Amino acid sequence: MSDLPLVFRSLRVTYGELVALEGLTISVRPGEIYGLIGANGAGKSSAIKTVVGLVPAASGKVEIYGHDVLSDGITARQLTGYVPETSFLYDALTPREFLEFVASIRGLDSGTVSRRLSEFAVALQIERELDQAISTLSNGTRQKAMLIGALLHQPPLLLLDEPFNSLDPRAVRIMKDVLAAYVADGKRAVLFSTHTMEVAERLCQRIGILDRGQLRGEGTLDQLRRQVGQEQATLEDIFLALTTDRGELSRLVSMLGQHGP
Amino acid sequence: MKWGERWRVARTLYRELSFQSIYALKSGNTFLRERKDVDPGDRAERRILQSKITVCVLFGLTALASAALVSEGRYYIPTALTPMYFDATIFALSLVVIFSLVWITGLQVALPFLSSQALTALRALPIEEEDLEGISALAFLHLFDLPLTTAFVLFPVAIFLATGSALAALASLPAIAATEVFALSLSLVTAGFFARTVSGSTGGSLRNLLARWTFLILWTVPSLAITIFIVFSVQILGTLGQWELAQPGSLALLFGVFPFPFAWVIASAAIPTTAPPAYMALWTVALGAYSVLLILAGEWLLTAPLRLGRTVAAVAPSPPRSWRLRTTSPTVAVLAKDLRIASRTPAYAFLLLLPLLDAFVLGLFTYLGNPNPAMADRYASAAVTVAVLLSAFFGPVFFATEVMGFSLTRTLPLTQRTLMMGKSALITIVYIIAFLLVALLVASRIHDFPIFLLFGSAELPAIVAAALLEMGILVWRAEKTGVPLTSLYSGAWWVTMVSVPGLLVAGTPLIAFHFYPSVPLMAVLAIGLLVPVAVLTLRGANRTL
Repeated sequence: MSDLPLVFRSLRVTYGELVALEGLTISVRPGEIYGLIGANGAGKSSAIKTVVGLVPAASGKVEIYGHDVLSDGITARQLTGYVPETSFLYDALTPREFLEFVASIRGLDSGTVSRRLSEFAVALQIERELDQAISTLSNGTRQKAMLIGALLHQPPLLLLDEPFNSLDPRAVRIMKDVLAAYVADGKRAVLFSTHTMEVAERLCQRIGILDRGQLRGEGTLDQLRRQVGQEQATLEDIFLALTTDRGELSRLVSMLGQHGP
Repeated sequence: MKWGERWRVARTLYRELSFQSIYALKSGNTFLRERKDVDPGDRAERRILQSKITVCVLFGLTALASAALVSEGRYYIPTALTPMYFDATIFALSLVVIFSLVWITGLQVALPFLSSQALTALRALPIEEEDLEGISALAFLHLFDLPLTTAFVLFPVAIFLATGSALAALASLPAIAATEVFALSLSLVTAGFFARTVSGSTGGSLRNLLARWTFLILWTVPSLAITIFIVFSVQILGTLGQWELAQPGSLALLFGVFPFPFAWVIASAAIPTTAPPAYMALWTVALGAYSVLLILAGEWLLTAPLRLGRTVAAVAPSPPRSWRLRTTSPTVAVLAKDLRIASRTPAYAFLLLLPLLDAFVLGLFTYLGNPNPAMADRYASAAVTVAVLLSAFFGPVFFATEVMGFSLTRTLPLTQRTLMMGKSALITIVYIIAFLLVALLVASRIHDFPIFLLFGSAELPAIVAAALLEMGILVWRAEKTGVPLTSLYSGAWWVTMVSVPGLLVAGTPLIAFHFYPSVPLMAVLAIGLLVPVAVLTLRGANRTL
């Protein structure tokens, strides 16, 4: 078994004629929070969905601790916890029933998951909604239920697709602290995608910048700064430098300004 | 906005509703990976059309049965009813079947329609409220158009063929219109009530639990009405005749209740007859009252789809009952999840309850109406057969619960084997409970009860085999293209296609018993079917979907 929590090897993902990812090769190391950033349609969600088996790879390989996600799907799923961009849940169930289902499928014991539920539910302030139908919950509360479902079995690898989109500021802060503590043992790892540069800059040890399906840059913040040749650059500066033509950007901003009210 | 423009927008809304209904992407389903050269919207509309045609076939069979009963029944069915009462009762029963079929279709369609985000998207556009109402009503009616039109054409034709009276055929048109409008209105009323008060309820209290199950049982009433028409129409005609002989005039009161006043008009047009003036006055008043109700319901139907679409279930948060999470084996977890979903989703609860209620009604009929042990044996066996057929037929729809949260399920370490076993366990449990209900009711009526128990038990392996076969086909299909079914209505075509092999497997021991009544032979056949099916479907099914 490999020590590397996650490895993408020349991954190519297509939707018909559209190439969503081309030759993606990255690895996520133990004890690391790895951030995938990119514009809409850059391929962030496709990369994560390939890991959990929701999207098939046209070519290339994805391995979780050395297990091929395609040929050894069950092991790969046992080693991961996944929070999708949109929280698709069983609307007729309550969060408690949903978590019981997830815990049972994962073969977890009642005592352990009950303890974890009480910790997470109080921290994320979802305790008063535990016995309400999911159909009646807000997007943020659904997202919290998904997060708890992904964390119940304390997986070695967490996959989070835009996990903070619907969360309130308090829950975002708590989740950032939880994720930092989660990888502190130096064994577990987190891969997450986001649009929010500030979150990625503060939370991630390494960052991969995707643009139209291709990896434009990868490394720590300092390594990325060196790559663009700007020592004081923010992640936003780096992202724009690697993915956008400055002249084109100025032209678009100017054009939109002319059409303003 | 003119009606033509409203229709154009309604067509777009209908296309979106069809798409949502077939692909269920918002519920977490993955997009069906099918032929690339066919537009998904066109394919969704075609699937809905196939389902409509399936419902139309049911209408056709009902019309045929009604025509046969009217033209030939009076020569074979012993009853004291006068020709007018006889024909009117058959017409009324036919209208009850139309009403029930539209209501069943409505319960499958109305809730997804009301919860559709398509209506919300329309409301955000600069369209007048009156136009929005018209568009919503047109889109809602569009979902039923072919079945409603078929009933409108087939029943008058059937009545004309059976009675030879064009006037009777014409007189049936307002009767069918009233039946359809009342059934559609009831679908919307019940769906709106469900969305408002029941869907957010999760069984936290006994009151919630009772309210939910009472409501879900109420939704099986129309399907029971169809069973009663199919199985008991001859007995109903006989009983009504005896009733009239014992208490003259009692039928006159019954004929004041919908749909009898409309049926009376059709029968009177076919067979000119007279009745006491008091009766005629009563029926005329009833007819007038129902006509007024028809106009009011029709007007309500034009505005209700949009208004009810705003319904939101409001539930106040409350402190948690406990922190305890109860975990089970994966197979039991799949079963428990499906039971929970079914108990809160009318379209699925209906499928769970129908075999049970049908078995109960048939068992009760055996208990009440057949003291002759030989007849009781036959009726009890028929009740078990109905339970077998219904559990095997509706099995595939239970698979459709996987549509909800499908993208989540696929990220869990859930094997195909666990999924198939959980679903098959549910179907088997439905059969076992249905059989036990019948056994309980007929215990004192049939002459060889232990043999009857063995008969029901011998069928059990065939039920498991049928369930596994259906699930195996659906898992194979889901692995290739995604989960295909969403509801009995939108997935009627698939249900029928996948159920055929299941019904063949479940039915083989019963057919063998019919020709050679031997329980051991039945058991051997059933086990002989189960073994290869289990090997075929479960071997190597340790992958995820």
